[in-house]
Amino acid sequence: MEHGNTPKIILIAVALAIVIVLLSLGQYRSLSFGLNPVREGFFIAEKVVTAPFQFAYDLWTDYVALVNTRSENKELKKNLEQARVRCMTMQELKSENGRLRIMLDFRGEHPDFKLIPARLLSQDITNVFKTVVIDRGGTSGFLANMAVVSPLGMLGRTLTVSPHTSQVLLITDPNSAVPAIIEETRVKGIVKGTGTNMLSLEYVRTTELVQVGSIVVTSGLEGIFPKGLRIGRIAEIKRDPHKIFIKIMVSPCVEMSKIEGVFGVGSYAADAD
Amino acid sequence: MLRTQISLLGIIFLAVFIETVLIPDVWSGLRIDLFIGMIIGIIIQMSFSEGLAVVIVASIILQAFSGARPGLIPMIYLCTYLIVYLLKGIVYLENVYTQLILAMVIYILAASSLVVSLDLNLTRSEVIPLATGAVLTGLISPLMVVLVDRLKKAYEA
Repeated sequence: MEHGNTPKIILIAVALAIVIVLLSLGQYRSLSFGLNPVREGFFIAEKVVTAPFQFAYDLWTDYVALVNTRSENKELKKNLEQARVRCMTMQELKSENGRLRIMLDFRGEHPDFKLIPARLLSQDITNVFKTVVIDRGGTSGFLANMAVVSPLGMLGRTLTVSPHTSQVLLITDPNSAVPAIIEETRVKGIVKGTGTNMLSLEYVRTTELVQVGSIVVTSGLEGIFPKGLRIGRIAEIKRDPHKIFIKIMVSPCVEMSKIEGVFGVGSYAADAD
Repeated sequence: MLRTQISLLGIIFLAVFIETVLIPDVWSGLRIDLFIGMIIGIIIQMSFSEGLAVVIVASIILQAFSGARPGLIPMIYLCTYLIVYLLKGIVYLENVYTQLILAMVIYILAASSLVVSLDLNLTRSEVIPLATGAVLTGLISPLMVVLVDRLKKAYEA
């Protein structure tokens, strides 16, 4: 009996060994027709068992838990708007910082001047006259006929001063006249406003050497404007041999429509007096 | 009537703020004259003497915001007031289109008289904002007339 069972056991063991060997050799794909239904069956069973739980979970997460989403969304939108505004404010602060840095550098370059900072309040009510109102007046040390400059160059002079505001006559105003000198050649003249965005350098003789691109600065002759402040660059020269003076157009260093921070120029000597 | 006059002068401050701060911020060369429309409204709604008082005080306020020689701005607006008052008997000022065209013409006349008297040579880039200002002044004037009308009716009610 025992001898009769031995070959069967050996055969079964050999068959199992062959199956294991075949599986380990990657031949199981040929057996997948048998395994796939098993896996599919397991998949279906798993779905059937988990579906109610999944349904309950989805119901909770998609509906019950979203009750506060509307208010949360509102809150997030509000936060986003705040962040956007903060971002814009930061940009403005950045550019303001840049401007202030330039003003500070300018202050450092002119230690001999007493520079009183001010900001633009309003522009002229007409489009013909070129004046601006700034937010500093007598209480800050501004006086009538005080030079007003920006870090880029000459702006004008104060016309009238109230305790907290000053009206500034810009150099582009037709009533403005500033004694000037061409930096390179030291030729003197008077820079007059034309009511436009250009200035006119007048009383320069036709015999004088003048070049386009030369820098025009204040000569300091009148006493209002300190010497050496930049006014502009010569943009155009018209010579007429029949006339005594050359017609010179000067492009101002400062773009008058973009003025923001300005300085009133006082002198420490005047304070001492 | 005094309340209407005081309110109009209060509105002038708002108009000055718009004209000298807000509008130049948008376009530095542009100026829109809000007072011309108000003058037309004043002439329609008020008597000569009552309106004259408002125009004098308001134009003095406006003078403070200009580099024009003292007296020039009041003179321009007083002339405007007198001319429009004389036209009152000739043209129908209550008509919106009349107000629009009249304000535009006054703006152009005032600006060009200043340009000629100051001997300015305006370039094209400077004429464009002036022309735009004239058109916008014309468009805003009927609204200013309505504002004066509403104000007067509100105080009368």
